[in-house]
Amino acid sequence: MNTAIAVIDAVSILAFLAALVIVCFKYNKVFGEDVSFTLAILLFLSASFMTCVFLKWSGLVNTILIVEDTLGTLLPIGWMFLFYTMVHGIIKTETLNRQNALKQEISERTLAEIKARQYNIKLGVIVDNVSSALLMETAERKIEFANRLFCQMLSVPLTPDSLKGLDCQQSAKDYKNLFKHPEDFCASIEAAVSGGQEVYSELFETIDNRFYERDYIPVYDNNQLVYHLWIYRDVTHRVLAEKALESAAQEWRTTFDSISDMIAVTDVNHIITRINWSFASAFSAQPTQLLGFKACALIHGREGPEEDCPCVTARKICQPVTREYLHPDKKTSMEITSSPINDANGNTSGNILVIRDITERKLMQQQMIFQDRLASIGELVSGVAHELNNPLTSVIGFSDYLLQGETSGETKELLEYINRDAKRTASIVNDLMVFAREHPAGKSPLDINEILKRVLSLHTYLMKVKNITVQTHLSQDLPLVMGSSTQLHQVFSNIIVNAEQVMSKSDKAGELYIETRKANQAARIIIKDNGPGIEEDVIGKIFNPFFTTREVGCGTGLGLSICYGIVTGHGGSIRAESEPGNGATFIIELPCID
Amino acid sequence: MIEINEVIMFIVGAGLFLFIRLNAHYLTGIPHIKILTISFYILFTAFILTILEGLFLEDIINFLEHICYALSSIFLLIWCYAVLIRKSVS
Repeated sequence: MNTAIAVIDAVSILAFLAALVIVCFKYNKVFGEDVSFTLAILLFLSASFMTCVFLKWSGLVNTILIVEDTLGTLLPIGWMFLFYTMVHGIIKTETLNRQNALKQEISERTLAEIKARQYNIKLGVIVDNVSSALLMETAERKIEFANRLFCQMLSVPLTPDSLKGLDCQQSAKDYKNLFKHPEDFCASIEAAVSGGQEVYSELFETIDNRFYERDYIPVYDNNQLVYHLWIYRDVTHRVLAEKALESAAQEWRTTFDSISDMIAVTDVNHIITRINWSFASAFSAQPTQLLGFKACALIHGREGPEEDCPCVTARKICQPVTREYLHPDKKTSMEITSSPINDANGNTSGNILVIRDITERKLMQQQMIFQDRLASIGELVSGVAHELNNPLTSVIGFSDYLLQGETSGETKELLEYINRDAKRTASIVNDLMVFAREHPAGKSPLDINEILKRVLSLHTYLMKVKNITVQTHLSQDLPLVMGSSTQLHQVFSNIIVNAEQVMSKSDKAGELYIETRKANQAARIIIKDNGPGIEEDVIGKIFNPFFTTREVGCGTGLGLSICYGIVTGHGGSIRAESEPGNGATFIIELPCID
Repeated sequence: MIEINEVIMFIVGAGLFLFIRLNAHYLTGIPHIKILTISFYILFTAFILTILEGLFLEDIINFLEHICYALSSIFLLIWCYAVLIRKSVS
């Protein structure tokens, strides 16, 4: 038993010694000096104690009881020191750590306070110098802060600092009369606050015609509403500029649409980007309906531009180009002017097309050419007539003289032939001189109805013989016309004689209808027959001198030319309308006396 | 027979036992503290057995006492190795 105990004790000694070696080897490396020292002492005491026990139980030494007891008593004390130094070290370390943490916390807090102070300074500068008026309320609708601009914009006679804590609902009611619609102002505030969502760009007009734009931003912290932020901006200049711009755009649009010419703006692909009402009306559409169409498709019915397309040419030469087109369907003449649109960089971005109906202008041009031709012929005829008059007078005079004398039958017949044809020639020459006369002489106020009655009275017999009925509808309030009675008599006589001749050749009974009426500032005379009418290809030539549809020798072709010359010489107009088979209508308009 | 030094060892050991229990939360900061406390508890058991061997079953309890000393020393060695050698290596 003793031996076993001794062996066990020996194991203990070896264990303590091994531990002591380890402690000595790692002295002051893992633990502090005090713990290492205490641990080493404890292990030394333990090893000493166990050595005494071993010696006692192994029977080697029997007189060390006092030492064993002493060491045995010191053993728990050594343990106590060990735990004490450990706990003390830990507490000391913890205290130190806590102090360090506290120091760090204090320094961090100090730093944070410095940063917060700097941030507040920066924020204050920004808030005071920002171009918007700012107002922040607490969730309970008390003013948290406002900047100076807010006080200025809403005419608040207080400093921003003194506003803090005021009730916002009451303040809104106090200052609502600054706005043109005060109830709307208050209602919009309540609606924004109760909505709890951002509201941007609400516009308000003040009673002094200024415009304020307002944003509302609710501020949340952990889903809890903490502040209401209101931002007001004075946008008077912007709103007025927008209104002016809108007005200018409207004015431009109205002007654009009021132009009687058709105007279209196209891009480089000939696609219409803008057109005016005239253009749209020509195609029986609304302006917006034609946007996106190709101009060439609308105007010419082609998918692509023509060879001499003015748009293409205008873009090439960077100058306006004008072309005339005859519309194939409407028989109207159009003048298309295409101007290139150049952007700021000088690049052509499209064309402006101005399309004008020049049908009337073309007709007037043709009329002017016709009148010019008439004038030339008149001058020529006048000269020739003067030259012919003298020899004709001789021929007629001498033939009359010879006829009065003794002449044989065949000679007399030939003389009569010469005399008749010479007189006929003189009549033609006389007509030519009337045609060529430039200014109608002897103008006086005339009653057209009276002239017509006189003309008709001269033709009553012939009309009756030729079975022609005359129907008149003469206006009683027809104004007087300044003119030559003789010339106008000739005009009406020529037209009625022509009608009489064509109706007498017709199988059906002739009907002549004569009407006078006032038309604007003119007296209109309508002379209508039920003869065969005038062919379409002839009607344009009937006023030409020497143009006649009668057989050779039966007409000079000057009658209607003379009429034309007289009427236009009176400042009036004459035109013929006819449908083949349904007679012809001559319409004469002569200016009235004011 | 109970000797005075054995009573002193027990009392000091009991005081230390209380100290360890009361300051357990501080000791958690020491690595492998469980091994060290087990070592002490075994030693404290040996102190109790030292007193008990004077009352009854002297031989057996004495033997157990020495066994406890040996176990305590081994646990202390293990603790030293674990804390000072392995810990420092890792």
